[in-house]
Amino acid sequence: MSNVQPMTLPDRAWLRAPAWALRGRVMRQVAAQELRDALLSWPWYVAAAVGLLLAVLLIYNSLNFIATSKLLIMSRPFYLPLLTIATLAMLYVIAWSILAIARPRDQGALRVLFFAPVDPAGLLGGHLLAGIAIYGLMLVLTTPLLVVLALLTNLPFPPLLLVGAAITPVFALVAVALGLFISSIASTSRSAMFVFIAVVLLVVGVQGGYRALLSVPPTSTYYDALLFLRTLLRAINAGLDWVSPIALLSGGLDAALRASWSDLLLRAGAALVGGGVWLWLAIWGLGRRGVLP
Amino acid sequence: MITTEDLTKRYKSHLAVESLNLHVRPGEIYGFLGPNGAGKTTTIHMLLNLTQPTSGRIMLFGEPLAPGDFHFKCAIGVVAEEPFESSQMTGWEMVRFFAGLYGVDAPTRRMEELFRRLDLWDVRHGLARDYSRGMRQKLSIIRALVHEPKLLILDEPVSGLDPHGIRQVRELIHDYHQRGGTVFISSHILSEIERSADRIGILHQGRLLVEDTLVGLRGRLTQNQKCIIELESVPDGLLARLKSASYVLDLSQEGRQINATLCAQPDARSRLSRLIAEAGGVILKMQSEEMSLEEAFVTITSQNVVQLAGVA
Repeated sequence: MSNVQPMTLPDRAWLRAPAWALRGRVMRQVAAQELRDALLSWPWYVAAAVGLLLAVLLIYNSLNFIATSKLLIMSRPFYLPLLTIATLAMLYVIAWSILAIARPRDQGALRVLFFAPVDPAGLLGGHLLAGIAIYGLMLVLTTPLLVVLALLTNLPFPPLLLVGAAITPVFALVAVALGLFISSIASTSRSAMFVFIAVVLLVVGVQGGYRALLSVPPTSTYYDALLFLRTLLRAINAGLDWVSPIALLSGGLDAALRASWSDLLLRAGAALVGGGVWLWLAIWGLGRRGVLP
Repeated sequence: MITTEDLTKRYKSHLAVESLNLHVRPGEIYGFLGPNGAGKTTTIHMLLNLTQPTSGRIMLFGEPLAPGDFHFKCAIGVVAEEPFESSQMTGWEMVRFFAGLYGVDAPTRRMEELFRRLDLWDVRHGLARDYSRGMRQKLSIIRALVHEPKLLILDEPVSGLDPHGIRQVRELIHDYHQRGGTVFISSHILSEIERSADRIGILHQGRLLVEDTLVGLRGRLTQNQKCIIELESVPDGLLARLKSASYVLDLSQEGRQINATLCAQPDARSRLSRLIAEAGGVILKMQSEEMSLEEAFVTITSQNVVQLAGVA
């Protein structure tokens, strides 16, 4: 091999490159690659299309309601459509992040990735950035179409809703970090999905159970017996409002529409803290569980 | 380059690696041999900080390896059996992605050289997941070499390759070694190790039985030397004189060829050739029958394990 260049072996100083510099490099590379992979696969487009379809159906429903009830003023006709799109986008990034670590680990690809100077913090940081970008791009693609629909239907689209939409990636941070945590600690990708489904069922169960208990009339013979359970579920529900990414999203959009900036900031702060805690737990979990299948 | 001190890895009741003391010197090719389940891959995982040892110490590039360290991997290239690839990356993009992780600023020239050399240039824009096993293995080798590492760790580097591919990879590793790189190669294909390794370590049931050069290994195992001597003609009385020599243990004749078993004295062969010349014989060819690495490996890892461990 005559055209081979002389080897440039790394010196000791190069080997001691600061960890943050290496992590920053890994985060950039991983985020760019994951974003590209997501945009080149069909599930992202399916999620965006389904979200848009549901939003259009909701707007169509609103128009029908206006026509039949002779309603002259309708507040927030685009709150629910936007919330639906954002919720679907969030569910997509949760599912994506749940498989982000567990699936390549099952396949052995994560081990190969860790042959390079990669550590859990850099890898998960890159996935977090990618997840937020994937969510944000879905909103960027679909929200202008809602604005177009607003112009076509003459329904009001308050600019405050756009402010709310712009803030929602902060709430997606919680969703992605939570998904990464589940992915990091799960033994396989299948068990990661089971844990995710179990968490969703638990949250839905708590909310549904609380609503069911609220409907029990005070005259019922079970009313007193169920009082403790109702109080407990109410407390859990109140806690979920500050932990669940979808509850934070819903509350955040609502706060933006009401121009309640303190509430919005409070929710954004809760999302940042929650996202940070889940990310830290994910880094710890990946360190504990390891990268080998 | 790599030093391990009493490196031990225990999985619950199974002892995967036991008190391993490895010494890989800078610039050498170190062959790491062992039967399936001997602990070779576990050792490599510990060297790369992918799994933590139960006890013991690892020194890489002269510095102790601490849990969580990862910067040292900038100077290491690793080839292992390639997993199934599910990403949307082409072979070219995958190597570029890893070059980015290693911090290589302008990898294109180096990548082109390696892709051409391993015959992947024409398929570089194909999806990596559609590559055959051999092509994935070549891609793994390109990925490991793209950043010009100081140390190359190879775990079964030629598995899945055809003879032409094996030759290409062998030449690539040889060139890398010639340019100052250190190679730590774990393989079941003993002929590959025999051909290239400067020193060899044999691992069995988690224990390093022997660490030596191939010549040294043969010396440990070979009590007697076998010699095949081809003569122009066999002079009268030569066989009788050879049989009476103290250093000749066994003798047989096949036409002009004499097969002799000599005792393990360093000057036995020279004394033999002198005796033949004194008897008027003309030696056309003298060949000593050496123990192959395969024979040495089987001998070491067979029934005499405990005894040989004492020798080592």
